[in-house]
Amino acid sequence: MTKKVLLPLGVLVAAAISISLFCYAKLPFGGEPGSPGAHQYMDWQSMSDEERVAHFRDLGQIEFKDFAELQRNVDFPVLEPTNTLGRRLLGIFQPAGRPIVDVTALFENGLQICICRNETPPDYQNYLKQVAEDKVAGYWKSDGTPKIIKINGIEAICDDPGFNDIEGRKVPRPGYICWYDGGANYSIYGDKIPVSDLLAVAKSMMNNSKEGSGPKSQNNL
Amino acid sequence: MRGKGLLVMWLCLVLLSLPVSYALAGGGALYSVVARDASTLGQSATGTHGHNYVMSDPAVVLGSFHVSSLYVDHNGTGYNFAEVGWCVHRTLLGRSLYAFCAYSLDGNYTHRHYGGLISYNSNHDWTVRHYSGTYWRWYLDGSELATVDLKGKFTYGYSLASSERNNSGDTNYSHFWGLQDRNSSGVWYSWSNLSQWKDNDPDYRLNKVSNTECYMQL
Repeated sequence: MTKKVLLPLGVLVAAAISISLFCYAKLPFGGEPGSPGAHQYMDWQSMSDEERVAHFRDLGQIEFKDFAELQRNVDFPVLEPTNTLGRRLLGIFQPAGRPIVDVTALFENGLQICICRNETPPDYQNYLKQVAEDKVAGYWKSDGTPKIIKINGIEAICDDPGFNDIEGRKVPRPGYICWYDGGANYSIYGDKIPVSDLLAVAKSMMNNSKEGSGPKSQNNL
Repeated sequence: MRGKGLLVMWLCLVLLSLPVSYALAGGGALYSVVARDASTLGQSATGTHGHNYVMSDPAVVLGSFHVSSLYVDHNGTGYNFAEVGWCVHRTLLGRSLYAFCAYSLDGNYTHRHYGGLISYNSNHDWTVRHYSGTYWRWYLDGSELATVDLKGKFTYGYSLASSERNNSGDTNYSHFWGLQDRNSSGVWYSWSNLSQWKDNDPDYRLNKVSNTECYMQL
């Protein structure tokens, strides 16, 4: 009698736990790749080109229609890419309240280039050391590891697109190449664009440098 | 007889899985209500500071969470930011509450959480700010949580107060007050133009009390 009751009961409990775990895995805690992320108020990668432009305009940013117009408003040689992977420029934006040059050039289909003046050059070697420590401590939530490369003799840091693990969810992150030159950080981001492609954009910017990159002074826009 | 037993077993299984299935209904989406200081300083803040209330019994469904936090986001894309706040999270082991500091560099997300520093039904003081050179520092109630080299990626950005949840069964209530921006000289100023930036939450909305105080509430 006991065996007759316990056996089905055991099967029942085991099945219930299995179903619960299955459903639990479907919850946001262990959700599908590509879903919006926790601790990230902005789901940038899911926004369309139009939504991204509207987002920057909503922020009240200064807008330049192209690099030529940007160049006319700054006193340092702007590195304009000649290769944008066939993506059209949507606009160049600068937050209105910032006293230094800090622009984001938005291109179609998830390509963006940021140029930001910064007096302090980054220490990429030290950053990689910190990343290694963060991984050991369990703080690092990216599935990638930044790599240091040299482009035209300039040290750069890069990684292919991938995902962040945010509270158990896979949230997409961009591919990127960043370097520092002449007092400015240059960052190229590509949603789902590998480093091998972003490299062509970076090289076209570096090759387009006539006087050497970077600001000559810290004048405002 | 055997078929009847199987049917009973199946019904039992369905009943047992129902609570989890209900939790699935609202899942899959992230909802956030975000306030910012739309003043000039709020676009180039080197830090954000404010007070926030940790509710006595925040509702959070299994596998989901609620977050109340402050940000400095460099250019408004979420690729480069520093964040401090608290999170309540429910797993199979139960509900957990913790303070955290987080940052994203070039889209690489890093998150440190600290259990045991905050409790339910309490007020806390949160600060995230550029510290020195390429370093940023996070504070809870005036005590340092962490100091991290953000490799000079940004030293200022948009000052934000955010309330987030991952499921329609979670609370997304937040109360922020005493909100401040830090300027490039390290001086703190009260927010002067509290505005809604983002709200994709179908239920919760921003209730502005003043330029330095707001609720995210039903």
